[in-house]
Amino acid sequence: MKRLLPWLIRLAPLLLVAVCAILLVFLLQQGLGSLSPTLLFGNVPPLQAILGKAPVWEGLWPACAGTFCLVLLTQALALLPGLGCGIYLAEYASPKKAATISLAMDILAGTPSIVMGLFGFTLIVCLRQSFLPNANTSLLLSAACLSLLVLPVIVSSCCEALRALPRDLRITALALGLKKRTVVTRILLPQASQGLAAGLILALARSAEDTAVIMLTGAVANAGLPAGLWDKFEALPFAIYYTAGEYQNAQDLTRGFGAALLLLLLSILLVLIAHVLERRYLRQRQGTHAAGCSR
Amino acid sequence: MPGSKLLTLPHDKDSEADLWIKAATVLAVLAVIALCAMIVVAALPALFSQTHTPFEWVWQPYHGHFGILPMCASSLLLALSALIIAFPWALGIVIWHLTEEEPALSWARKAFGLFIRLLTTVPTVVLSFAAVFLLTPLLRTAFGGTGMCLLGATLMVSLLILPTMVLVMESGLAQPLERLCPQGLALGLSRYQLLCHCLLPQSRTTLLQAAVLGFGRACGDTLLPLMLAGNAPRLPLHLTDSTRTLSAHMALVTANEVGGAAYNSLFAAGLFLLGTTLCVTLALRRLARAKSSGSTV
Amino acid sequence: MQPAVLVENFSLSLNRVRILHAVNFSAAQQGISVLVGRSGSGKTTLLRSLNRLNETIAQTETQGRIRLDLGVGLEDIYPGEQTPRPVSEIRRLVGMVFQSPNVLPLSIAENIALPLRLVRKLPSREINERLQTCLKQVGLWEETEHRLESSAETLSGGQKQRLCLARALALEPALLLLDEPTASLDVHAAASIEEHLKELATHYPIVLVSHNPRQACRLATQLTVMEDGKIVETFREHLPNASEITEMLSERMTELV
Repeated sequence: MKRLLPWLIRLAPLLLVAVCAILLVFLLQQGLGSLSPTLLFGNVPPLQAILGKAPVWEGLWPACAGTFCLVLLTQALALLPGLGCGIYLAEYASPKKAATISLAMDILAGTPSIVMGLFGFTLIVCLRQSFLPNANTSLLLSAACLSLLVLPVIVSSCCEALRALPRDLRITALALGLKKRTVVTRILLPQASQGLAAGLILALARSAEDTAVIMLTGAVANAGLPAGLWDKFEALPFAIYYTAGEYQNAQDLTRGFGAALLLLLLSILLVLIAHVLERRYLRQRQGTHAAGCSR
Repeated sequence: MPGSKLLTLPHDKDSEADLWIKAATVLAVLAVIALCAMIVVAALPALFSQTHTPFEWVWQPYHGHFGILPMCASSLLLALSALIIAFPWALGIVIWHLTEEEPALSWARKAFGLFIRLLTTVPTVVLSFAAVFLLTPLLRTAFGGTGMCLLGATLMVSLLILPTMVLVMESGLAQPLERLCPQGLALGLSRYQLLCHCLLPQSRTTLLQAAVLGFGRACGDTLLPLMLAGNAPRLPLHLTDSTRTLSAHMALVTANEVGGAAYNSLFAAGLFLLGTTLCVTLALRRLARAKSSGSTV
Repeated sequence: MQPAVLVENFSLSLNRVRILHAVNFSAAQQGISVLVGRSGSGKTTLLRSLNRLNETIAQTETQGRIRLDLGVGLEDIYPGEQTPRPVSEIRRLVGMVFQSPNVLPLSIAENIALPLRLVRKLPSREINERLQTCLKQVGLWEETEHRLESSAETLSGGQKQRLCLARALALEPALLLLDEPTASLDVHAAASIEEHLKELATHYPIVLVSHNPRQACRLATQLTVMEDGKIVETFREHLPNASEITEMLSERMTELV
């Protein structure tokens, strides 16, 4: 028994690695062959597809473009509130206010994405019944709900990045007679930029992969390239979900695997970048992990 | 001095926050309040509906039954069964990761940290997609039926919550263990003995935190149960039964129905889910507070 | 007489930084060998080499030889490839007390009983006997007799440190290592520890690192001065008094400046 125990304990991580390896190999085996321009553009010449001159029916390009727009829009919507709230939490909030803000962020972080989606859905239903009878689920609504989803990620990483800065920096700058807001925006924020970037990239990854929110707020299977803020759109995760249930032939299925592989690689890449940035940032600051910024 | 009061400093305009920062904070907090308020208000008509109450065990929209209780039960059941698998598994992984002393395996220990970190971000839709075409056929051959069942969803959800639980456990155990190590090793104890005999019995809060967080995640996930559990709106009595969780129910109803009592039950479902995760969040905060105030480890 | 500790030409680096340079050191079977030196001079590292504790903290490379008498004559501790005993047994046979009183987060009794149960695999009757003996040995029995089951964290600093000493003694060590055992204690607690150490030194070889010249000359039967990872002087007879030690340490400091 004594001899066996270390080996029994080693079984647990081995099992996990094995399961993940099986899933990954399966995905690669099914999807790797399809990774080519055809996967994205079908039979349409890539340049024309990218410029939007020819519609793509047999490729993932509209879904990719949709996800791209969605992610950018989400980031644009969430950036200022997220940074502002993170700065306030780290630099200005009294303990009481900090408790309120972190409670709000904790609640938001714990809320399932489908509930965020429901929130967006409810919003549209309300608008339609009141003063915007033509309102419908759309790209903008999805992005708004997603920005709610990534808000806690941005807030907590912004707060953590600021708190990892040395205390001396703050005191020195204040002792020079600078106003606190100047210190924060001109000295602390640039110093913390690498940590901030890590948080933003994490938020990017989070908004790119979420499916439940966009399912309820405007993603559809055949919308073509995203036409505008008020239109329905295609997205990569939704395309994957849709393929699993509605595929017609082997070609559809292969495209589904290609899409899954693409999304997987994308989020792994983003998270790796964020990880490296964060490690570098914390090592530079020799920062112990700052406490108090809940995640 | 009795009776003396601390002087409050005069209001200092220079150390006040920029307007946009204040506005951003107010916006963020208001958004959370709006989210909760809106779901509650939207759910009210359903909760007090006399004709189409959501509190019944039958979901047959065409016969006027809009009960969501089976979905509630199924959500909780799925989360609990996933927890039963994932908790010991995560604990085993953490024990290994913190106590592996074999120098030949130190590279594996280092790589494993990053591996777990990456696992937390695997898109659930990709996980579900792979499982639909890999796990479901296996279950079909093993148990018959469609292969879409509680068991499949349970297995994949436990895989989903595993990395998060591992990270929570490690963040609570790693530092205390390192603090124990010099003296513990000097006594001739191994890292494994220190962790399992000294630390774990003291670390109930950390383990509970991991379990609660895992439960919350498992309740809230949509794609895995939606794609793997078969979505039959009834109470699963067996692991191989098809079932429908609240989250999956919400996705299905918004996709298929337009208006009426079905919508109302949708909001009731959303409220129940929000309430559950709210409890989870509050419990986690309470646990975190208990840990920072009460522990000496 | 054969020494209990014999360090020959021993060099050590932690994470590729050389800490000890060709150290030669020995300690007798009885009495207290005191190591003094400024902080960063390598005292603690040398001490931790004797039970191979450095390698649990950082990547360690060594050169040279360390031998200890663990009950059956001198045996090799370093070079580390083919030591006759497993490392954990070496650590068990070398009792160590740290600068800050590190009790395990368990009850007072468990602090002593757990290592005995896990490392020595003794039956519980014998553990209870030994618990009592060891607590008496460090003068803790009267104070804790009635609350053996309460958490060790409830003890005062001096009591904790004596508990750590008792815990080390319970494992029946062949050698005691003490790393500034009174540094975090008040004068009275320190004095009581020192009394017990003098008593113990008649049965055990003790190697003690000290920061405090007065303590060093109160306790030492052999005094070794370290500087920059090297041993600069060893006194076996005619030990210097406290002010001489202070002078020696500060002299080297000014030499550096």
